[in-house]
Amino acid sequence: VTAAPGEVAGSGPAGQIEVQNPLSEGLAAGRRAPPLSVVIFGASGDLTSRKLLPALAALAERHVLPRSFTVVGVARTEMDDTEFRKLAYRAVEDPGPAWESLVRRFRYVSGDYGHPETISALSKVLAESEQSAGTTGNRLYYLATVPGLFAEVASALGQHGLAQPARQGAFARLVVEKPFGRDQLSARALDEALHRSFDEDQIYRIDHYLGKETVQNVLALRFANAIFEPVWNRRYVDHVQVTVAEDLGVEHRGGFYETAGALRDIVQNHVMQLLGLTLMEPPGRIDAEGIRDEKVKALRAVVTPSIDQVERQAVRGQYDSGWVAGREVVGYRQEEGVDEDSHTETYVGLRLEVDNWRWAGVPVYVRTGKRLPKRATEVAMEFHRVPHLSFAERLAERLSPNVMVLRIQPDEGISLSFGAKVPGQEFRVASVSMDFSYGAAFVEEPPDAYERLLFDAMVGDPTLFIRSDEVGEAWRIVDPLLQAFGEDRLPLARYRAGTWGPPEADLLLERAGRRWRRL
Amino acid sequence: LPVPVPEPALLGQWIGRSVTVDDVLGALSMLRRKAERTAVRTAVVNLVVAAGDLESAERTSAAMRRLGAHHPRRTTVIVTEPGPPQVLDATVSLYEAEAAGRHVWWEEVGLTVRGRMLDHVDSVVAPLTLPDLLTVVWFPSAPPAPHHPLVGLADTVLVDARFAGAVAEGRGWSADPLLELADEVPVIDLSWKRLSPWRQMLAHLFDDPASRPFVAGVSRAEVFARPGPRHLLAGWLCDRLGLPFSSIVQRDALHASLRLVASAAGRTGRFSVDRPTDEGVVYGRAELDDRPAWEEAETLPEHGLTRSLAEAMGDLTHDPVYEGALRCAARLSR
Repeated sequence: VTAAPGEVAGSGPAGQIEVQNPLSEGLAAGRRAPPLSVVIFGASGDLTSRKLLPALAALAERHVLPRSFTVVGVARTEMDDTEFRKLAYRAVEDPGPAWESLVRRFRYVSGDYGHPETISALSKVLAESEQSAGTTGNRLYYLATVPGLFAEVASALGQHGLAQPARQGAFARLVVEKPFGRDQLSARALDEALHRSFDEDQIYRIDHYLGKETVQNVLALRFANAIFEPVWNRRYVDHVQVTVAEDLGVEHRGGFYETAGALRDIVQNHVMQLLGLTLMEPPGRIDAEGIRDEKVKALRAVVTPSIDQVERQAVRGQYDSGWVAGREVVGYRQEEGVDEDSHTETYVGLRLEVDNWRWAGVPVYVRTGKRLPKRATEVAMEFHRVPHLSFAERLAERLSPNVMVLRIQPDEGISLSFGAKVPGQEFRVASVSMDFSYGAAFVEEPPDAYERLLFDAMVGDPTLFIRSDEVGEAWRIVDPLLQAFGEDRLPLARYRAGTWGPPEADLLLERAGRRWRRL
Repeated sequence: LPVPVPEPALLGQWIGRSVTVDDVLGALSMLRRKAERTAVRTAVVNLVVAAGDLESAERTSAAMRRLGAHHPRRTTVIVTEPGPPQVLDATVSLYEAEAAGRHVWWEEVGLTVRGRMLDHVDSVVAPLTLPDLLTVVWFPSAPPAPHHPLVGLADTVLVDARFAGAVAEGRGWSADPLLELADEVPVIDLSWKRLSPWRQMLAHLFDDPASRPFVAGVSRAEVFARPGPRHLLAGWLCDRLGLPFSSIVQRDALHASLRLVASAAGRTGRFSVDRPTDEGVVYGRAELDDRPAWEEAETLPEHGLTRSLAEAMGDLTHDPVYEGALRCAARLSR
């Protein structure tokens, strides 16, 4: 909404008339959060200590949090304000003076999340904080609990009137961590439960992958360059490969991983987001609705595999013991917290099809796994071969099709392989790579993904958060696979830790004369 | 800019008296070839410094070295000496610094230009710039006349409004030289960059829903600062809020401050942004009738030429808000 300086511009979410702030123009890079109370449910948990508190501390040290700012922790763990402040202080490596000063105002409420007494106590603490810290009634609730409690907490907030802004012109937002349900049905049920208390525009579903600079750069690469978009379609692209490879095992998350598996942990969220950004049409505007509308349209075009197709188009695997990066590691079934007869997949290989004008007939291959040889996330577009190779076959045996790779992590960057003459008497050609590394051009460290996303939620920018319909589409694609895996319709292929997955996954591509990229 | 930035290592240096531009280009290649290790050339900008005298050249060079590997660049620092002989002296240095675990190399060329060559200094500098990169020309003292030969070479000119008065001799500070320059080429003003925390804080005071309606009802503004920055702040308020000149009061002061009086729906609001002492904190305060006053504080980044330069280099795009402020400042300063 635009208006001349100081003029009335439009209606705000709470029906209040908005007046533009002409003094903010040209200062967008230096945004500051508004006065605010952040309420963290699950405040004594791992996510809070490892990610949220360090992200808040980084924002405090960058001076983008206002003086009228506080955090209220809520959890079952018995703790008082002082103990929570100590926890917050210790969660940050090398805390600075801004964090030290901010932490002094933190409050804590202990109790069962859905219990009326807990929410009443929270309501009282919020009212006190808003008075003492001057947070003007703006509230951001962060659900960092186990997923099973999301609906309960949202409902409790709604019943106690905390889901609505504390006063006209203020806001109440809810940040929900993944996973958003366990399948399409439970995701829908969770959405319905959240929507009983919060409107969709109050809900910020977070997938930290979208907070990564290099994921956002997929948009820059595609829509800020005239040379890529013309070849970004079925006429030039033979197939797409998405790889999310981890060298780690399940570490200490065996219990959790047993209930999730690679499909829920990686494919339903991270992979689908990468696919959405890679396959989407150019949005009219790079803003929240523009990007999310196009991502949903792209995901909607991904064909739901039938149960029969799943058997031909998917491979699931589980790692055995092996060697990774010079270290001997145990097999998945020997990991802490894992059933010794577990059928949970630690590897998924997939072939997906996209039914739209741009991508019809271009297969999208996805692979993700734990205990693979290295950590690597990338999207690769392999282009068609030249229609006629003018060189003798033996002189071009080292020539591969052109590939454009968007490396998400590590060593973020972009590379494009193409054919070049090998120096020498013969006209021998080989593939070489033109490489752009982010680190060489931009030496500044980008903000941590949580820092970025938490701040976006504070200032009300939903661009990098996932909308309800995106979640629904992702589950629609993944649901038949879940069903097939659950019914053991696919054999659980074995692979040795430190290899690129089970041999069956290679067949997915070899059947069509293709192969996985060697990373 | 992370602090402290590690001091860059000097990998090699070449000094030539009475040389040609080809000699300098040869030295640039030779230094890279002879370095013990190889590194990919890393540069995102050509930075040309019209330093004038030796003292200014040393000061600006030191500030640029403290940028370390940030904003990797090919730098050319020009010292001018009036009168004959018409000869060129040059020093070429190859530096290396580490940032985020990566080694970055860059070159700094120091030139002493004399005689008639001064009028054609662009022809000396142009061959030394790297192709396809933005060329930024920095005038660390008075802003140049729009027809200065180096302005023609520049994609962006870097100046400091504090020194604009030196051009309008005897008439105090004047925005006119900056305005004339801005008509020719995008101008980045270090003073304007340094004022960002004040502007940020004042804008933020009106971000609160309770105070937002007052932004349309500002009736009086007081601006305290040194000449140059003060005029820019006054010009900014005049331009952004559409204030008549008569409602803006300006006074000289060591540190910048802003005070605004506004009204909305029959209520009065007072807004101030102050840096009361040398401690390096900017305080914002909003007082609205029938509401407790609220305050904000922001620690200023460590002051210094390197910091200003880093901020300027971080965003080299044309800034229409600055140009609006400058136009109003010019009218206010006449």
